[in-house]
Amino acid sequence: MRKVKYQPPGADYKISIKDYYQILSSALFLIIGTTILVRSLQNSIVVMALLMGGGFLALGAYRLRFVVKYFRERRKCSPR
Amino acid sequence: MKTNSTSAPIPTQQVKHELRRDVTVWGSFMWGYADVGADIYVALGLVMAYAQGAASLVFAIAGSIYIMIGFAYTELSSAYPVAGGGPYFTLRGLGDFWGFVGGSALLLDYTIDIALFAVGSAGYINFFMPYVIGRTPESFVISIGPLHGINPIWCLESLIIIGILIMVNIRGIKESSVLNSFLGAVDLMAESSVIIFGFLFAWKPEMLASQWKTQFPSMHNFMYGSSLAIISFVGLESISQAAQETKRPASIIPRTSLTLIFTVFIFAVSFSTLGLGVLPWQNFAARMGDPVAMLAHTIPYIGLIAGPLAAILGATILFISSNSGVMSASRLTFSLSQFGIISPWFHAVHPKYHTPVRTIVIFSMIGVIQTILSFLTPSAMDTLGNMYAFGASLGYILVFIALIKLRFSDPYTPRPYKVPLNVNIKYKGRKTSFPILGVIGMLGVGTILFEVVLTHTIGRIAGPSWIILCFMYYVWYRKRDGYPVFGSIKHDWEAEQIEVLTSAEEYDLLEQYKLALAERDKKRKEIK
Repeated sequence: MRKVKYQPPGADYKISIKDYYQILSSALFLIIGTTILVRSLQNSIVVMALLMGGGFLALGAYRLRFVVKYFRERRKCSPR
Repeated sequence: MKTNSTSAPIPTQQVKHELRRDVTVWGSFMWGYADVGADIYVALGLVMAYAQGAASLVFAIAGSIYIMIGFAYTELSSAYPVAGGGPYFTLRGLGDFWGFVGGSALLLDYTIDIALFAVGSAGYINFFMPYVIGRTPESFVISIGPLHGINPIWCLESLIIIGILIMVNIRGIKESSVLNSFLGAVDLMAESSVIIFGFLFAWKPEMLASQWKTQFPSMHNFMYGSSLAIISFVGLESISQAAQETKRPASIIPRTSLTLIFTVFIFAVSFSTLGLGVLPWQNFAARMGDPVAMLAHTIPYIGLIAGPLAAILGATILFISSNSGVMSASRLTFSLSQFGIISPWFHAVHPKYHTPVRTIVIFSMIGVIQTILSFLTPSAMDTLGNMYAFGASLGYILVFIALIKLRFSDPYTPRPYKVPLNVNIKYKGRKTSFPILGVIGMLGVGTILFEVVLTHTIGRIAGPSWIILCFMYYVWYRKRDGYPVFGSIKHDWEAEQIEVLTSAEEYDLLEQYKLALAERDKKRKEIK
């Protein structure tokens, strides 16, 4: 059975405007997640706020993992 | 119920597969997003009115069930990339009768889709009413005898929108994927901006906590709200419609639909959590027509622009969603008529414009009747949402059952994507993976349907009445043409699947499928 698996782009891949938007939104997810968590913990703790904050933080970190991987790959391949 | 096949003549119209296009992952995602992404514009106010301080929890619960439904649609749409969607999967897995039940539930939803989204679109247009004519939409509310809270202007606006849609669809103006992509992208950025700015500058966690603690709804309202919340995730049929018209859907559809499912889920939960931390839930309940625009308008720095922009986007995207109801009803009736579920009479085309004029007029007129009747109730949007949830939950239950059944009855079709969490069991000497998540999802949707029947006073009467009405037609049509009512017409699914995979240019899947069939035939010969 053919599995559809995510393939990270190679080092020769050119970053498009859409990718920049996704990188920016992922970074913003991290900021929002942290803001929600910190502000919720400072005030009243509500399960949904913790879930939202944690969710944004995890999603941002997960997406940025691919970005970091890509840049590492590119640095490895680039001539010194 | 028996669904055994009979050898009655196959309907004369043979299944035709249209030419497919090179739709990118982004294009395919936007196709679905223009449909499903619009739901939150309608659902936010409606759900807040009942789920009150627990609205975000209710969205999260309904969203979790929706994610499982999304997984099921992703598996089935990538395995059977045809536009029939839920009813097609049900027909294939459970037979003609259940395919008809799924089809009639979905048809009910499409007619409400036309009405609800037209009403929603008019609601967002009304955002500008105080600035244009100096009066709020609520100032037009009148009472006629025992009927109170009737808004004739809002009703008229909604009817004009449906009228425009009827004309546009009869003349055969195609839904532009470029326009969908553009609007979807603008909407995506606008919604993201509202969430980001909202959480950073306007959100007050103490307000969310206070509403959570002091405004938690009663059990009845919680159940009602959670069953209404499912409407913010309706439109997954667009995944299978995209699958029908996309080349190589097996590689595109899983990525597209999984991204779509999670994006919509994040937006729904974020908007409700943000909303409860910015404004009291009563504000949303009072502005059911344009809740997202109202929320966007209160965000510091961007509110002045974001409010009107959200209203324009809401009106436009809901107009497109309403249009997709008209188009999807035509697609569905065409698909059902191909399999002998309804008469091909429905699909007669206009002599000049070559569009399915009968389907467009009949189902849009049902939408018109629903709109008028809903405006005679205290809340038109509530009444329409009430009925929407019935059709959606019934259709989704059948999809889950079909998903499980097809794993056993059709293990030969390659599945490029499988619902997570499977256990391998032996069935008829063959290893089959049983979808645990399919069962959990089925129970989840079953709970929603139970809540609908228990709490939706209109939905529990109107929904089954619609199904019974359709059943009477089904019995008449099937008996007239000599087809069994509860049994199935003999369909050559294997030839159909080969044709589908060929037209989708999924040659490696086609090879796998033929190989699996050959192995099965060989084994059968050995046994004989």
